[in-house]
Amino acid sequence: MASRRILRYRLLVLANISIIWVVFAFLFLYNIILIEKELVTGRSLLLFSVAFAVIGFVVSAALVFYLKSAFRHYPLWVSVLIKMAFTLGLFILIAFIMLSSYYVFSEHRSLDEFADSFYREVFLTRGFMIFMLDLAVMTLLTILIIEVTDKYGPGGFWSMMRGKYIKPRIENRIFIFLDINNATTIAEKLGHTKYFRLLRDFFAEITIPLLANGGEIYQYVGDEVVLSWKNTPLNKQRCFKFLRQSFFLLKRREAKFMKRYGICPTFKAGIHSGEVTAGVIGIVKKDLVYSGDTLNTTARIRSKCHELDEAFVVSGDFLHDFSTPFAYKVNEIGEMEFKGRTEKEKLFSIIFE
Amino acid sequence: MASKRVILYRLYIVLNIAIIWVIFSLIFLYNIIEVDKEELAKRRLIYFSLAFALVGLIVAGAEAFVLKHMFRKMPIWLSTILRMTLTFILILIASVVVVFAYWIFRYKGELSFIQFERHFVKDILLTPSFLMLMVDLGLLAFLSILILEISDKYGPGGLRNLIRGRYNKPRKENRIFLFLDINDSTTIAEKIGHEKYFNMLHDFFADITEPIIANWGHIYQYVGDEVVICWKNTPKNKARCLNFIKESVDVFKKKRDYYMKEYNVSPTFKAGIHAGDVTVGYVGIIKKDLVFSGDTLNTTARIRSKCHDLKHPYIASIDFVKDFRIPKDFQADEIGEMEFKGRVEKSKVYSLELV
Repeated sequence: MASRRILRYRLLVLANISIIWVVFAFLFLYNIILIEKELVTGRSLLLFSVAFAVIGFVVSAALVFYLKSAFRHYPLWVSVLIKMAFTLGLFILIAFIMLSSYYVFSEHRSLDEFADSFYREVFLTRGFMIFMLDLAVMTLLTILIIEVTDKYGPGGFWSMMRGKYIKPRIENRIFIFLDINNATTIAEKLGHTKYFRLLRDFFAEITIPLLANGGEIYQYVGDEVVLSWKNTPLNKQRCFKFLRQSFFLLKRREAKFMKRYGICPTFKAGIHSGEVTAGVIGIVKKDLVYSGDTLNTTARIRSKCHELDEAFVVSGDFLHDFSTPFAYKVNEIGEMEFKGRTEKEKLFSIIFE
Repeated sequence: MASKRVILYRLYIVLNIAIIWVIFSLIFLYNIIEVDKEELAKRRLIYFSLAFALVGLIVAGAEAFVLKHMFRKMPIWLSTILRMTLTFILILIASVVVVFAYWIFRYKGELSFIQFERHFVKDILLTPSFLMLMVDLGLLAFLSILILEISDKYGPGGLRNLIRGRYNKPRKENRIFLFLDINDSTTIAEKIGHEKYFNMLHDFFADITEPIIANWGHIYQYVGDEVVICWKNTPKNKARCLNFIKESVDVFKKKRDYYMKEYNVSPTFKAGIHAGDVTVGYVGIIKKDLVFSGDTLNTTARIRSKCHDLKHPYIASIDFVKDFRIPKDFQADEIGEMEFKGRVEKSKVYSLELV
């Protein structure tokens, strides 16, 4: 299930959070060390911030990989509280183990004695209390960062920070409009709430092939999702691979979907590429927007899927200058008018071999 | 220009940030006071966090009301640095004034400015706790900029809904939807070029923001050149929805000269209005978003495309018009029928005329 690409994406988020932890560690620990000047000597600062980085790494790894979806059905503030309690427990455990091993091995005293002095000399000191407080704040920030990066999507947060799209840019991009087949019929059969859950599971399933092939989710429009890549020959191949992998992944998940919903969703997709203007729009609701005929055309190609009774329809523009990989068969199936062009353009279907 | 609602919304954000500042200040200042235990008596903690809250309020207020627009065209990291410098200067000035006042009124010794300056630099500016305060403040300034940016991404109320977990389980809601579209967008885009067209789109959506917030609307999403606005379905909100159209028309009338000068066209819009049940919830793993799903949305999109067919700028469905007394500013006339999914009979659609 976990492909390398997803692992890499998670690791990237992890690395970013760890860096933030280290920065904060320096700041917080500088404070603490000033307080307990007598106890902690200067050279321990490095040691401490390494320890902080390790803890940060462990905590955010736990958050990113395991805990992230564990409390998904609770409100965010509840899950934040649970996760914070978990972090503090984890930290106390680590501190206890580290200090006890240090104590036992270098001071040659019994564990009983240690437990007593640990409680008195470490646990109840001011420095430790502040440290705990700082740790709690860090955990809160970590959870918020994870939540916010999910809102922006991979790379979205950094392009916001860098201000990449402050001035509108013209970009050449591939777009896929992807849609569940017979959405209305399924919705009527399942009822709207259950249908929504199906939609959510469906989008979750295609996330894996999407990340594995470096695609980006542009937006959800009703039951439809719009995916996008930069227009390069390599990305065209990835785009094909994405369709193939999603198609077979859904087949593999058929039993799960049948059990839960009594239906297994299939999808249709329209693929096109061309120039769009990309930029950030809005004042109180800011969003990255791609604007241009390319998108309208892709939407129309997707609606051709229904008319031509084909699952995947691709435009001539996309196939231009691109040799189809041998596992796919491309057939000409019709023509369509494109805005701003005098001649009709050809449409092709994709079949997996 | 600034309606009451807009100011209220801004104030709400400022207040939230100020609260965050106070929480952080308690943590940070607890640290600092521990450091300078000898110098600072315990009771000053409250003073300090009060001062912190005040500075936070000023900074966040400046951010939300004035600075945000000034720095809009810069990347975040650059504007952060600039704003952090500004914050530092502000704090420095505030602390000089406060400490100087304190000095004049309380200090029993010789009163001279040079002496004050020497003391100020030696005893306050160069102490480790002041440096730390500055670092902490810088961090807070950065955080508040980030929070402002992020809350804009979520839109008004979006962040609060996320934290409350309001839509963790998909909910059924009855909502009014308004699809709004610039007239002749393709023609305009061809005429003025794509880049300029995008800038116009940006200005258009910026100008429409004010009437949206003033009438309690919620921007659901931008789909290409279209914006989808929604309200909870109540009679009061129906009136607000119509009032929104009226105010938007006025805004573009007023701004006509600006658009003519800048883009050589003056944008007008068409709108389709409908109301009904939708399912609301979050979808997505790596790109999490609040999604409204249901036939109501597809129908609204089709009503909006009727605007073109029937050559009328504002069209509403029977579902919106029934059980509702149209305000005096508008006149609703039946102009046709349309098939709605899942209904046997055709439903009526109405044109809305500004009187």
